[in-house]
Amino acid sequence: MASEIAPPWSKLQESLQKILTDSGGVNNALSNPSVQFLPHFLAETSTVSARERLGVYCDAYFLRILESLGSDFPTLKEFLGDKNFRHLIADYLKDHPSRFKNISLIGERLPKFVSRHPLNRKFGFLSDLSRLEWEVLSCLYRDRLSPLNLESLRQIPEKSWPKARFIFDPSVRFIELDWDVDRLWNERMLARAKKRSLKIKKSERSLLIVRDHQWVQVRALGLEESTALKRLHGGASLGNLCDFLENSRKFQVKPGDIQVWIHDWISSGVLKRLVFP
Amino acid sequence: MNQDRIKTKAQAFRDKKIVCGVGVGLRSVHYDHVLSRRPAVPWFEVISENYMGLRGDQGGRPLEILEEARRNYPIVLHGVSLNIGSADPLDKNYLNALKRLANRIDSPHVTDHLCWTGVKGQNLHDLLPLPYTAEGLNLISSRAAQIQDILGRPFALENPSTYLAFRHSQMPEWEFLAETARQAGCGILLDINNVYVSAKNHGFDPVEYLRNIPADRVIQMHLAGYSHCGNLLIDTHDHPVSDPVWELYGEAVRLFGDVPTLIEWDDKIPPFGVLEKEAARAEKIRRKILGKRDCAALV
Repeated sequence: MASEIAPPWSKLQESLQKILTDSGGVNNALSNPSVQFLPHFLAETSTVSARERLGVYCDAYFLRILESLGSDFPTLKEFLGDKNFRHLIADYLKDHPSRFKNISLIGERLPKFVSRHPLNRKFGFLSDLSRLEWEVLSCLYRDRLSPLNLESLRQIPEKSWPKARFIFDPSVRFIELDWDVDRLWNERMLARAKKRSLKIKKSERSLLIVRDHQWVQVRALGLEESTALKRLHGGASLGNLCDFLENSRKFQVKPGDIQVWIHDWISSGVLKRLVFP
Repeated sequence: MNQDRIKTKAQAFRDKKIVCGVGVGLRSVHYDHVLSRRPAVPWFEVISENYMGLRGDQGGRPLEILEEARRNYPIVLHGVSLNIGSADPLDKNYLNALKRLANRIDSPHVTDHLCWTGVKGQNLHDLLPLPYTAEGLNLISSRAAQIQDILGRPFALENPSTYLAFRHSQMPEWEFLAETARQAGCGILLDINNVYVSAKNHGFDPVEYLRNIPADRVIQMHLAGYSHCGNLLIDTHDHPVSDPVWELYGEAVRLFGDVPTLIEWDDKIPPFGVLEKEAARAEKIRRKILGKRDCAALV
């Protein structure tokens, strides 16, 4: 083995990292005088140069992250197509290189980045779509509480119900969007051509995101249901909620509606515990 | 934990054969099959970071699945972000999260790669090559011992596939790996495909590599497929194990004996049956070389 004056461990790695993450590729990176010492320390063979060897790592860096973000933002990727998605991610990585152990966290700042990207000026809903896909991914990584047994609720005395407060599953998220991108997300299994023809409309959406045993459910809520659910989530008792809805001129909610909602929220894993303070 | 205790632990692991035979890497496309059909696989290996949650806290759905699989199979944690060779210090938060996960699923041992993955807080999500110098040996062997101490269970380092080597390296990779394991008192996860890929890429003899690895340190082996890219071989894990790697595996079984082996497949993942066939082929090689006596504990 050749024995040369080795560059310090940190300088070697910082220089290599600079080369491998340069979006302009190895040749562009090596035009930077601060890293030009590096190829001198790389072994070559007659068939493969040091630049080619660096190129393998350079390509792998981008492609691995591109693939990971493509699987975490599948609808965004499919809507944009490979070329636009690749362009978007190349731009994103310049501003937001990964600092995470879990590769999935790289996408955390993508929705905000997309909102400022030229592609969002062309397709105004991209920011909402990427935000929805990020919330879905985050929901997948949240722990759940065990289901609430509907049968056990029958044993609760009627007079206790007004005081009841609900504990929500930790995976539950509410998001407000300006576009009906949930339609695109919910139909993501459709063929690409069909999805392309789906018209995304500007329309205020209040979405409920919750994880079930299999995957993540995304559901658009009407104004009444959204208001009721968020009040309970904010700590209101069932009695408070009923009083609020009864006294509000804005809503036309019958007591039977609340019963149906609660049944549905428990069945779909949104409500997980009942407490009587 | 002192050196002797670490050695005792590693030896006890080999003796107990908590995982034995030929396992398969558990990937998300096979979750349903593995949970519902319970295929006759003796053990699984998973990528640690996929089950540590987004920030090393809640594990969510992936961890639920892992715990469900754990009820039926031993599971070994294999990491890709330990960053043991980085100029950055070891990430204690990551190690603590890894320890919690290892305890939770009772991973018999924990493995990661002889590489660095980023510096100055960045992660390139790749297994980047190291210069094999005395400075590197001191750094990595002391860290490997520290990691094993923190985890409280055997830790092993895997030889990576490399496409780049450093002129100022002072020793071949096998010597660096063997000496690291000896000084740290840790194990070696010997990836046979990586030995072959690196041998072709750098022009060394893969059999010489194997002959210089201390048999008592090898606690696991990996098999996977590679791709051709011009004059280089790339460790893509998207093909069946190639014939020369099967041949090299036979040599490894002759040298290292009854060591648990794993089939890795991470891209263009085929139906589970294809992985089972690869595992059966590895098992056939093991049985042919080791004979029935050594394989008695195997499925």
